[in-house]
Amino acid sequence: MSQTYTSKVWIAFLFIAAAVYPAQPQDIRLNILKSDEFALRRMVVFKKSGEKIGIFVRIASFDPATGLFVMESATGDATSIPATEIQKIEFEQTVKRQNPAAQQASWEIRATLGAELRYDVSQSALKVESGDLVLPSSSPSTSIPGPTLTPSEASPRKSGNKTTGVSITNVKVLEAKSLTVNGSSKSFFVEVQNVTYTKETSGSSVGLSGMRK
Amino acid sequence: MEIEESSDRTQPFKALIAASSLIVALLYVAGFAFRWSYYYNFGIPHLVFNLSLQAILTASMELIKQPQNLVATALLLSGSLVIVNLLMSAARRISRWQHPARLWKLLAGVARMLGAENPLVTDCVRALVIFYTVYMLGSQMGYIQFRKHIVNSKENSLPVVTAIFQGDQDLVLACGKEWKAETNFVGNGKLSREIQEYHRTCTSETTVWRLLYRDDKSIYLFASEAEATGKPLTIVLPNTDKVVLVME
Repeated sequence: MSQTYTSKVWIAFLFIAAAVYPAQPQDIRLNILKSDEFALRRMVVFKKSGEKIGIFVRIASFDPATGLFVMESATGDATSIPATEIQKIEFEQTVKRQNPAAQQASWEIRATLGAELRYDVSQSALKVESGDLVLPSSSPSTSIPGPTLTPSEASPRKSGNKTTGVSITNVKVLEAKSLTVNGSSKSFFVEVQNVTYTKETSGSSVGLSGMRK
Repeated sequence: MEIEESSDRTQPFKALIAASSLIVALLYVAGFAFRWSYYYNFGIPHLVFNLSLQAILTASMELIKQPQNLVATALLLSGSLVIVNLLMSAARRISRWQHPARLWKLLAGVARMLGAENPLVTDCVRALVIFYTVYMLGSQMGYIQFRKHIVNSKENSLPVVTAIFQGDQDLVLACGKEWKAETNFVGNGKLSREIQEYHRTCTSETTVWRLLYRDDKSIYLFASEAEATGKPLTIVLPNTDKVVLVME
């Protein structure tokens, strides 16, 4: 009897805990400027004045209260730009290319573009952490119509037989495309796109000498 | 015979002195192969021709500097010498065959014609094998050194560098500058724009610029990356009094 009572108490406790502390949806973290194994990244800031700035290598911080972006150039110089002065920020990616070297497996990377989404993120909800753009996944989103699953730019394909020793790695990444300031409602439209990076590695074809003949 | 032995005792390095030119040539081949393979993989093999004899001879020491290189050199050299001596011994025996069968006679004749019993030929073959083995070893070790240097790690001995340009010298490719659409170029213009727009000339979390080589005319810099991905991005700058190199 007491065992049944104890288990009822535990179940009730779990229900209350679940109601009080609902599972937090994970934030969406977008790597906007760090290069990795697959792609190089950069951003261009378009100010309302018409000025276009491409020298920033990092968004150091964003203050949700004041709407102030702090951006850093390559020399570490910080520039504060209020969101009200920004028309939009475009984020660009390009696949990495290999410069073939002797005795190394050759590889090429292709990017396949997937669905595009537009998130409406309030100013208070937008965060910048370690240079990444962070937005709550609960932000309202709409899908952007357009062609999907089309191969994007790829490193030049090599001709010839590639029948043996080919390994393929697929990685799905959510890439930021743009951040547009919606001045009237103190919010941002953040456009993101699902991108699948395919890395195709094939065996080396050179001899022992360390030199490609 | 006795006179020769007493002469050897008075000049203990006689054999070494006699072979000194061969040893220097061998060290030169080793150093040249090492440096050639190293710079070749950076895409600038011509630098080897600027190196002095001393620099190339010093580079040959790479073949024995590291314990693993010493072991590889010893094993490969002795192994190839054992094999070539066995083959020459076999050829010598074949050349001495006195078999009545026509095939054996033919084989013995061919062995004699190849000079299996001629000391000059056998010495030349030995020298050729030694030179070839040393060349391949030097080349491979140069490549290993290249692979080690293009990776940005704490073990990388090449200096981290920042090149600063004084005055009004306007560089097309420079960290933190906007790409100019009117830039003149020959070759892959898209790549040049990408290098500039994606800040690839800047040292970052994943890329560190290092000094490869400097001479009177040029400065060779390359981008070492977190992992080896092929030929690194290498830039050749003019070495003028307006350029200041800061090395860490």
